Amino acid sequence: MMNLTGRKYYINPETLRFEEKKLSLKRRLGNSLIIASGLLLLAFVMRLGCEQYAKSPRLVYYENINDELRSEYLALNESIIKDEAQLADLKRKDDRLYRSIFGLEPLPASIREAGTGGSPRYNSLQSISNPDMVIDVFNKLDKVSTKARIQSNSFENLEERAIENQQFLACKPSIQPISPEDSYWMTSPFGYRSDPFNKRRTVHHGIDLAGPYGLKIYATGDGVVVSAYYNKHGYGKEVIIDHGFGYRTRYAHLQLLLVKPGDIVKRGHVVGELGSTGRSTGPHLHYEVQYNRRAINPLFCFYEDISPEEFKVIADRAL
Amino acid sequence: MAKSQYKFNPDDITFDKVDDSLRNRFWRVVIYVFAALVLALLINSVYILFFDSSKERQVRWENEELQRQYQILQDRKATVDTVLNEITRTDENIYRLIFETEPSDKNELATTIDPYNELMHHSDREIVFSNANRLDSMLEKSAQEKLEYDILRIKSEDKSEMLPYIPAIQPLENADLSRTASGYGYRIHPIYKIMKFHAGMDFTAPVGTPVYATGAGIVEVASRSRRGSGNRIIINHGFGYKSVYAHMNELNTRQGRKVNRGDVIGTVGNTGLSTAPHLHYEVLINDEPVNPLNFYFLELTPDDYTRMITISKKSGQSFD
Repeated sequence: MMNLTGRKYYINPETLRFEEKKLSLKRRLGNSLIIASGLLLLAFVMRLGCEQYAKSPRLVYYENINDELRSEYLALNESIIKDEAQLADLKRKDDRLYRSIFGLEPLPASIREAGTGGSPRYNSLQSISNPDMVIDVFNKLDKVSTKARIQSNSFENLEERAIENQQFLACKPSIQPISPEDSYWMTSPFGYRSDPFNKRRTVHHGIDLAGPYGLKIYATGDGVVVSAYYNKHGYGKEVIIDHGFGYRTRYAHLQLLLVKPGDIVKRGHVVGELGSTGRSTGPHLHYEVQYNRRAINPLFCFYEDISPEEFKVIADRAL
Repeated sequence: MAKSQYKFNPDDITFDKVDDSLRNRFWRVVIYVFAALVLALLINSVYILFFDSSKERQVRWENEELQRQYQILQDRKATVDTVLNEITRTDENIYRLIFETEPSDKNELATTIDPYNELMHHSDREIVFSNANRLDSMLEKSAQEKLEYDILRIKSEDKSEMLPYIPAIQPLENADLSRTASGYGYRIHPIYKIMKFHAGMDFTAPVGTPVYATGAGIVEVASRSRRGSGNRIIINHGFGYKSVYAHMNELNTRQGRKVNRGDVIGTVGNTGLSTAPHLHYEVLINDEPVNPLNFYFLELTPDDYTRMITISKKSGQSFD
């Protein structure tokens, strides 16, 4: 059955008949093309208008992500600023506290501010909109990371130094060789004196501390026993301890040696007993401190500010 | 003349003329335009569905770029954080080695970092209200305090002559308190490693840093020694007050000289029984050592005081 309702007719004035209005295929194609391109044009114009005056949901979505990303940069920036503050704090401690304790000059600014050069390293970032903030974060992080590296090196040195310093303080002869609990007295000071045997003016390289036979003699700093035998040149039974850092101590005229060469001793370790061996006129200890092979005044190496109880603590720790 | 159009009516088998009145045409145009718009919209939607607009493309590319760079940034930041942690650890270790105690900066920071945090949880009204209340009570209190202060002032007037003489500043430049090292009280001795009473306060400073007289007075002792306190100055301020400066390098004054507060009397050193360049400072009243912490009142604000107390308390080891 032919459906006739949709068709259009017109009166052909020549034949006076109703004739169906028919269009050639070409015309029809042409018409559709015009309509289609018209529609597309319309769609295009619409699109331009939309883009100009309205945001597509997707653009809004993208822009939200963009904002979020940027706020993450800002958050990172905040945290970098905190790092900077922390570094500044550490730098101050480094300069003002640690370096002054170890008698070191603060790191010069030329090292601290070692720059990385202002070359445009973030070319790919230049093409985004408002790149300044992002580049700023990068630059800041670069600076902080350089500073952190320098600080890290500095602290590593200081740490070594602190450990060394602690070893130094442990090793340096710095207590008296006889406990304050025991009675002793200084019979001969350091320096020129008249020799007890030939009465000639000679240099005395240590101090003489007189006391009863058998008094315990203590190592005055951590170290290694380098000799513990009878010295034929007058020192009698002596102990020599090498403390490192240039320091050596001699404990001479002992009656009994309680250590042997190679022993590692701690400050407060009993190394022998007081006696009168060798070139000696009576029971006493000859205590000598050498720094870089030269005898120095042992009085500068201890200070009688330790109570007997405190001395006992030190001696007990050496066991 | 426009040709009239006809439509075939199958019901009564006639050709009906198509109504082409102006109104009708108008409506047809409207429908066409509407249809065109709807179609255009449809096309647009389809287009949007599958393609990004130039703006969207730009923003999307930017997002990718930002994301990419952020990754890089984050990686670098992680490295910096690791280094920072390492530094902090080393710092603590150095601190421990020097002072024989745990550094307590962390707790200090936590308490001072955000005193207003709790206010954040209140509404503006609450804050205004409570502030108004507080202000009222403060005004009341301050009036009361003024009265007490006036009484005190009258009482103290005859003592005001003492003021230039009593030790009242720090013995060296230490505005940021970073030179404060070890306080008064029991401390681990750096050499003996035993607890000993530390009668003064230690300030770490490089050798050569100027040392100031903390009050006017007469130099009682200016002695050089390689033992004990090293090069030492004692100033007699009168009224029973004395101040002691030990382990100095140079002494710029002599026994019997008169000094005023702030005069440079010498420089920081490392003399005597000292393990590091520092100034050991003591205040004596009637020859008994007292805590020097109480004698910086002309220089320190109450906040500084609180900080100084924590700093000087926490160091477990002195320098001599």
